[in-house]
Amino acid sequence: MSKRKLLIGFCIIMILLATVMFITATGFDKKTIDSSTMPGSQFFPMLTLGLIVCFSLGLMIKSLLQKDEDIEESLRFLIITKAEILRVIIIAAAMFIAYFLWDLLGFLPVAAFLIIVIGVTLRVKSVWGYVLLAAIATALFFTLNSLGVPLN
Amino acid sequence: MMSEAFLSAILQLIEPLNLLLLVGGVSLGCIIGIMPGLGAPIAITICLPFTFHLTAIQSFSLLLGVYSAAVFGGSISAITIGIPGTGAALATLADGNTMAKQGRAGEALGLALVGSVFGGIVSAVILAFTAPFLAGFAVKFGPREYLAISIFGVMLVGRVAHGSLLKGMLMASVGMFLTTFGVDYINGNTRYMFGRYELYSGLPLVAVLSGIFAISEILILSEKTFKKKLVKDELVKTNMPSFKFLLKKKMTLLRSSLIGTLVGIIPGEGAAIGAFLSYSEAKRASDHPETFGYGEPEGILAPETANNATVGGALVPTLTLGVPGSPAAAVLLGAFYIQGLNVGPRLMKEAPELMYSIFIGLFLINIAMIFIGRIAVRYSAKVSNVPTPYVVTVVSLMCFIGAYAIGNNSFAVLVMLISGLFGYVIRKLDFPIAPLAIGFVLGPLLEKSFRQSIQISQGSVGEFFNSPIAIVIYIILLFVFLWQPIKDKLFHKRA
Repeated sequence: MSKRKLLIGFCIIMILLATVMFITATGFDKKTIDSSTMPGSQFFPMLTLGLIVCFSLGLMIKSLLQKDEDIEESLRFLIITKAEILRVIIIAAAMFIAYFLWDLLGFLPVAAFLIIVIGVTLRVKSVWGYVLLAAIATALFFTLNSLGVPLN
Repeated sequence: MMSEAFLSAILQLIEPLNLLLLVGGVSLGCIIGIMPGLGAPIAITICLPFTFHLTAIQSFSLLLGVYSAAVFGGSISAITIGIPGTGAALATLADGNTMAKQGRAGEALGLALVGSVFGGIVSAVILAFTAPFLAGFAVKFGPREYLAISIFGVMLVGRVAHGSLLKGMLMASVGMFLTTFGVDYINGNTRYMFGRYELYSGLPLVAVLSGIFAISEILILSEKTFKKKLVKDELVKTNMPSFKFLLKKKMTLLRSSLIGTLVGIIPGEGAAIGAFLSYSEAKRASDHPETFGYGEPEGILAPETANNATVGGALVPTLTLGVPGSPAAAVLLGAFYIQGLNVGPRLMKEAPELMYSIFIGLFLINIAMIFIGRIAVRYSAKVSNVPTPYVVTVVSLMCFIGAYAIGNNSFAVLVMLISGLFGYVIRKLDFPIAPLAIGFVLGPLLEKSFRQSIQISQGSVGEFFNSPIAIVIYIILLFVFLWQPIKDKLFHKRA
C-alpha cells in the first residue's frame, strides 16, 4: 500500500473520529447557565474538532489533487517489511498485556514478561543478555522502591 | 531578598547530592544522546520517575543536565558513525562525519564539545538576564496577551515543524483537542470522561508525552532486529581546539550562540532549526563556503554552538510564560507539575531560589560537560553498540514506571500506550510530533484565555486586538506566515 493511500485513510479516520466527538460535545453545556457572551464547555472541543476536520480535508484534497508526476513521487512504499510490522505488533501487544497484568502481578513479573517478549521478538540469543536485563529491572525496582516511587 | 535567594540557590546547588545528580544527569544525557533515535525529550522522560521524591532544585539539576548533555551527545554519533543521535545533530553530520572519515574524528569531537559548552554558557547567561525581566513584564499580562501568546506558540510550531503546514497544524489541533478531556475548570462541567474517574483531571501530561516521544520511538526501534555492531569497539580520543583557533572563530561562536538562543525562545523544534540556521549563516559569512560539507571545522562549530544554545533559549518562555520553547521543554513542564509548581511569570516571585538554581545550574552543567563529554566521547563506540533490544527493554520499563508513578494507578500507562501507538502511526506517515506535544501543553492556556477574553469583552472578538502587546504578537505571527510565500514570489519574479 502506498504512503499516499495510507495518508488519505488516516485523514478519513480522523474526520470520522472528529465527527463522533463533535456529536458528543453538543451535550456538554446542558447543566450550566451560560450567558450568550460566554462560550461554554462545548466551545473549545468543537473549535479544535472543526480544525481537525478542516486540516484533514485539506490534506486529503491536497493528496488527491497532486499532479501525476507528484503522485509518482509520493507513491513511495513504506520502507517496512511484513516481518518488521509483525515485530512492532507483537511488542505493542506485549505492552498492552503488561498494562493489564500490572495491577494483578506487580512490577517485577511484568518486567520479566516484557524482557522475554522483547528479547525473543528482537532475537536476543545470549542467555546472559536476559540475565543482564533482569538484573537491570531488579535494580530499578529496588532503587525506585527505596526512593519511595510507587510501583505496585 | 533577591541576594538571599541567590545565595541560598548557590548553597543548595553545591550540596554533594545536588552535584552528584548534576554530574549523573550530564553523564546519562551524553549516553542517551549518543544512542541513535533517543533524543532529549526521551532522555528527560526516562529520568522523570527518579524525581518524584527529590526536591525541586535536585530534580532540575538532574533533568537540565540530561537535557543539555543529550543535545551534545547526539553529535557524537553523528560524527563517529554518521547517524545523528538527535535531530539537532543533523547539521553536524556532513562536516563531522567527513572529518571522521578523514581520520580527524578527535578534532571534530573536540570542536563539537567546545561549541556546545560555549553555546550552553552564553544561553545560560542570556536566560539569567532575560527571564527575570520577562517574568516581571509578563506579570502584567491579561487573558488577551496570553491568548495571543498561546495562538502564536501553537501556530508557529505547526509552521516551523518539519513536514507540511497542514500536517503540522493538524497535529497541533489534535494536541489541543486532547486537553479538553476531563473537568472544565471554568464552569465545572465534565467532558469526554467515558465513565473513567481517572479522566477527571484530564489526560496526564507526562503519560501523553512519554507515549508520543518514547513509546513511538521504541516501536520504531523494534522494527529492526539487532545484528551487528555499528562501529568498531575502539576508544576515541578528543582533540580540543587551540585557544588561538577559537579566538579566530569568535564571531562564529558568538553569532551561533545568539542564533541558537533566539531560535530556542521561539516555540518549535528549536535545536534542529537553530543548528541549520547557524550552519547556513556560518557558510554565508565564510571566506571559503565551498569547503562546507567537506570537513570544514566551522561546519561543526556553528551548528553545535547553536543547538546547545537553544537549551537556555527554550527555557526563557518555559519558565516565564509556561509556553515550552521546545519538545524537550514541554516534557520538562511535566517535571514542574510533579513538583507541584505552576510555571509562569509568578514563578520568579514564588520560587526565586529554584529560578536562580536553574540559571546557575545550567552554567555548572556546561562546565561539567567539558570533562564528562570527553569521557563520553572516549567510550562512544561502546555506547553506540549497545544492542537495540536492551535499549528497547530498558526504555519501555522506565516509561511504564514513570507513567504508573504519576497517579499510582495503571490508567496513565494505558494513556501512554495509546499515545505511543498514535505517535508511531503519525511518525510513519511523516507527521511532525512536536506540534502535537506543544498543542497539548498550550491547549488549556489557550482555552482559558480565550474564554476569559470573550467574557471580558462581552462577546466582542474585536477586543482581542485592544492590547498593544497582543497586536505586536499577531503582527509577528502574520509576518512569519506570509514571509515565505512573499519571498518565493519575489524570488520567482527575479528568476
